[in-house]
Amino acid sequence: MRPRALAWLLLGPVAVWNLVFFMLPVAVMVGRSFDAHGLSLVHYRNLFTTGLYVSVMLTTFETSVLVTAGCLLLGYPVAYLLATSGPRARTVMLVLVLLPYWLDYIVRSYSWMVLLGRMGLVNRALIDLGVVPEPLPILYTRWSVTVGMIQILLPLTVLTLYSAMLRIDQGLLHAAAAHGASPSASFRRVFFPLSLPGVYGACLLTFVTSLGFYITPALLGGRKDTMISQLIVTVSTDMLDWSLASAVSVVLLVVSLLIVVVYNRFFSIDRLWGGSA
Amino acid sequence: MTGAEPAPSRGAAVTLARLTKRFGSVLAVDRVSLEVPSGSFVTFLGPSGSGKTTTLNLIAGFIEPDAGEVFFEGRPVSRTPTHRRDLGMVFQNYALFPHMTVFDNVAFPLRMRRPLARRELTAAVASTLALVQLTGLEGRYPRQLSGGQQQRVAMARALVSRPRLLLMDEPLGALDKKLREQMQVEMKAIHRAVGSTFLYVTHDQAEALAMSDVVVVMRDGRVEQVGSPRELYAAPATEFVADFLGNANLLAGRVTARSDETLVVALDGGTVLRVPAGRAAPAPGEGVKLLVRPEDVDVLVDERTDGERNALPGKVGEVIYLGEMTRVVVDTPEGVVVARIAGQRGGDLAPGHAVVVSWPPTAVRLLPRPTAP
Repeated sequence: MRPRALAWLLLGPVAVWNLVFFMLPVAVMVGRSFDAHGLSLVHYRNLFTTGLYVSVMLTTFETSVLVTAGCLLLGYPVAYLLATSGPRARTVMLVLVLLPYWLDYIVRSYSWMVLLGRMGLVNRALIDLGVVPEPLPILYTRWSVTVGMIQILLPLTVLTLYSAMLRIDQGLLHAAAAHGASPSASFRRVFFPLSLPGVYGACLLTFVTSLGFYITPALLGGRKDTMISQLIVTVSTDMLDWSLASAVSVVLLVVSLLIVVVYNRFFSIDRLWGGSA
Repeated sequence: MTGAEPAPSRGAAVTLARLTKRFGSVLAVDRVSLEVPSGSFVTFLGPSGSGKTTTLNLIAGFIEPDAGEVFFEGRPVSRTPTHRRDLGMVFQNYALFPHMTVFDNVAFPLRMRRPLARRELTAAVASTLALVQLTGLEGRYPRQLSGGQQQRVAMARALVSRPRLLLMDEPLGALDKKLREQMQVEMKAIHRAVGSTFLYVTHDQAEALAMSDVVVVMRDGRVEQVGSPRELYAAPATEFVADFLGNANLLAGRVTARSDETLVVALDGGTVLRVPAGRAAPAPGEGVKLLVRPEDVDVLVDERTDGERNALPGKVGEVIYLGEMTRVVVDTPEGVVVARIAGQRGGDLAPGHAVVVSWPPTAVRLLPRPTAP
């Protein structure tokens, strides 16, 4: 069989699947977002002039930034430890990192409700210890959403950072030490700069995934912490305004794609999965 | 641990005392003891897996010994981390920092070890780059350089802070033959110019012979023999050393008689030869191996050989013309004997010719014959 024909045979099933169940619905959605008894931008004008919608988009953006920063700060040391440990310790730690990842994130979001609720574990502990006289309003805030999302996305960040760090030549750290660099100088001057492509990649994946989060903000957030996916659900199922919901979806899609395109322009997306720059 | 510890001398740049390193069940370095004189060029030579690189890594401090000790100028350093050992090092793949320019790579050890004013730093980097003949590429990144240029940057980085000890792990291994030979000459000149102690690891015997003051031949984690290149080539202590350094004809036999000056050896194929008895000549009945270097062997077409020379009849197997000399492989009753004939002689030889190979008995070196297992 000619290689070309083989390529089509291999790609064919997934291409058809994607065309029918992904590209087509997306095209219908995009079309609907411009439709108001004829071609129109009215839904987009509504979206960008209504204070509530704009604030939801800003909240989404801010929360995603916070989540990305939190994942990076917590994940980098873990990834570093993974990348620099011996094979046995590494296996144990990898399982520990992946374990929560295998647990459904709806379950994990509910667990956070149990922990952070008015009479949850955290508040009980604080009251019993006499730190606070009455329960703190932790749940249904920006913070509970952020904490929950960080916990859910952390494995993704750690694994992306870790795979990038694995590609740093250990010989370079030997070279740094042989030429007088203390472990901390070696980290600052050699390891950290070389891990930056991984940091950018991890930020990209974490941020773009955060933008579209639904369940966690819906369960752990309050009214003011509504994110864009919740808005899409509300507009389409409560308000039954499918055109506006489509417009919101298109905005989310375009922003996500834009971030990926800009990243690829500077860092080449291949590198995230092991390709060379 | 048993046995007397060699006392580390303060005059020695590096002393290894019964240094031992085990990886799992493999004894990578097995009780290696050695004195490296200050300012010398010492090469660890051996096939892969002989423990030479592991020994270098123990000296660098990348790994810790299981037993024994490394001394720098008489002081034990096992508890001194690598970055405080005042080293320079050239790695096989160079290990240049890919995110730094040539200037920053070379300036790295200076920035780590002694804070200098910008102008002094620039001057030190420039003079070191001049030493390795690589000026004008300071702003380039390693990936923009050829292999040979990267090698020079790696040398400059190792030398710039003028460390007392320079470690080199097969630094020329990735270069082509011509460049390698050129760098050998330059490296020797650099060694003379800077006066540091150079510890060099290679599996290339020609490289070891060309550059070193002292060669340490290693095998299976042990030191097989230590000596100057000339000593090792002319007087190898074992068959392994004889074979590893240069080409060797090894003829197996047994001593049948011994007088003060002469030893009579019956080779396994039936030939009887008379060779000079050395100081520690084996006794009659003992097995020996006769080492004859190919350059000492002559190939004659006629049967006439004067009785003074050791001679074996044979048939030419192969004639390989190499320009400056010709290699003749001759099948004899005692096995294959290789001769190197200098100049343009040997043009009349062809496979199948009956010949006589011969050599002066003084060219024979007696080696112990390992007892058959």
